[in-house]
Amino acid sequence: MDLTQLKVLDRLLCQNDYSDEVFAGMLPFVTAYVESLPRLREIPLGEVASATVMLAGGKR
Amino acid sequence: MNHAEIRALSLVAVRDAIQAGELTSEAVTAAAIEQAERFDRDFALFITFTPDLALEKAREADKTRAAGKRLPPLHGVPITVKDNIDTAGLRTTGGARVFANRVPSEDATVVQKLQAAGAISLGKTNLHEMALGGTTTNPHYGACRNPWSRDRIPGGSSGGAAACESLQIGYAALGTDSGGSVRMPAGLCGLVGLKQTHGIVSLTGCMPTGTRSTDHIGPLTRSVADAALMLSLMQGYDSSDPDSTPHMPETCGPLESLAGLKIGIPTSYFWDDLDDEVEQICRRTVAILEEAGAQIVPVKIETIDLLTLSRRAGMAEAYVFHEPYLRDHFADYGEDIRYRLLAGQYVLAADYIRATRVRRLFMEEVSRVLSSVDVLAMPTLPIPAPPIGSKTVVIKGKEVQISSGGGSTLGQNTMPFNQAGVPAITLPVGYTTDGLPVGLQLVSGAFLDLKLLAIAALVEKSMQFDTTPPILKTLEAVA
Repeated sequence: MDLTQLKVLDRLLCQNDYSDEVFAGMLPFVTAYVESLPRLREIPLGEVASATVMLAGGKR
Repeated sequence: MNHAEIRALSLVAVRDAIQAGELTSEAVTAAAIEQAERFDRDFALFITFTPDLALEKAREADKTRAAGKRLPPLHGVPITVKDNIDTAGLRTTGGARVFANRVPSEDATVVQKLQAAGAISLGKTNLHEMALGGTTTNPHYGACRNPWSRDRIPGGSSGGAAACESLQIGYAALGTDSGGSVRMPAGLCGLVGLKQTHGIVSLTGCMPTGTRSTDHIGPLTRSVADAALMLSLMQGYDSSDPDSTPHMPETCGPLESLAGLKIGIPTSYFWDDLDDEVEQICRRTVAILEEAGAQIVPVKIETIDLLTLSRRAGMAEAYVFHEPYLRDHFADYGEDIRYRLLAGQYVLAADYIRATRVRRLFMEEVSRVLSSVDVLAMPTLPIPAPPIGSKTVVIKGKEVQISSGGGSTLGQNTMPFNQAGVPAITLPVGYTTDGLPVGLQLVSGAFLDLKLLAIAALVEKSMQFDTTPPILKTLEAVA
């Protein structure tokens, strides 16, 4: 992902009016997220329960 | 006893001495304040230091004792409180400029419990801004230093808590741990740090990191027995906390020896990419435990790689908490967290849901693995304390980020057990050739906190680590 792509993404989803400096600051973090996605999306998770409905520890 | 001798007592010992009338709370509190005044300016220990209030409470405690009243378990004992844990009428900043003037109207439940137990707060300790990092190089309240080497970080986010505890300012420190923020600074400062089973200590009054299901309030102490005492006073169901559980840890008495205990050693990830000396010290410790009769069992945790992937999508949660403040006070956020937080708004709902489901897979696997051993063991951190201001470190010829958020080297071995919700403890097991402490992390099944503490006490006995940093020994020698 580059700065232009991030600006396009932002325009489509959030319509923020950030400065170039702010977009540049976010870019490494958004890139890391985007780069993690292909592997995350490969995992078959449809039948797996969400951790948010079972508190850690799992006794309730 | 002189002030140095009073400060060097353990929590359990000072409690007993006050209860027996051998020491006054005023003397104990004055000794702690003297030490805090000696180091606070240089080490950036406190955000709000309250010596007058502490002394006033200490004198009241002594009057109560003189009146022959029944005393609570921590009567007159000074402790410190991390500045993201609410204290009524006393500002609680979260280490952030945006909350510089935030004054809670109520104490956090855990503060109420410790006050009811007789503890006296010396003040609110410095932390990594909003508990979102592992260095405690705080852009607003100062770069906290490591007592074992003043040019190095104490770790974080409970860095002020760890530095105070190591410098013997108070007898226990309250910290918070959302990815290792109690265990990392405890590990880097030669202390014991406990993150108990999620839900057994109330989070009401703890400023959230954004991911409530991984947040914990935990103690940093100078011994395992002190950590056990703190947990016994902090735990308990709290109906005001939606994450609180009525289940409490299963009972477990002291263990006689390590003989027959199964210690699981993960065969990948947790023992990979370690500093050479950290690895040597921790492997030597495991060998000592094996010689003492423990059975060492290699174990595999296959979903760990997936978990680290899912953490990226998890950043959406922190964004939701910070969104209104980022909108109105963006410039008040430190550079190392403002962009990371903003990036969370681009996470898609489907990916966030995938992340929570991957977390479930990990929780289930950790639970299965822990049912086959008594504890898991691994280095608490992959490196000893790095210099303040350094961004990267070289491990096995590879340059890696020290604390980048969402993928920090410092937190690689601690974060997974916040995700799993199971208890984990660090205790010091050795020093590098530079004299920096190295911690070993032990992890047990959910609600087996007392068994974990009992095993940690045996490891502590085997290792005989001196938690006093050289700077205090030098001071004593001069005095």
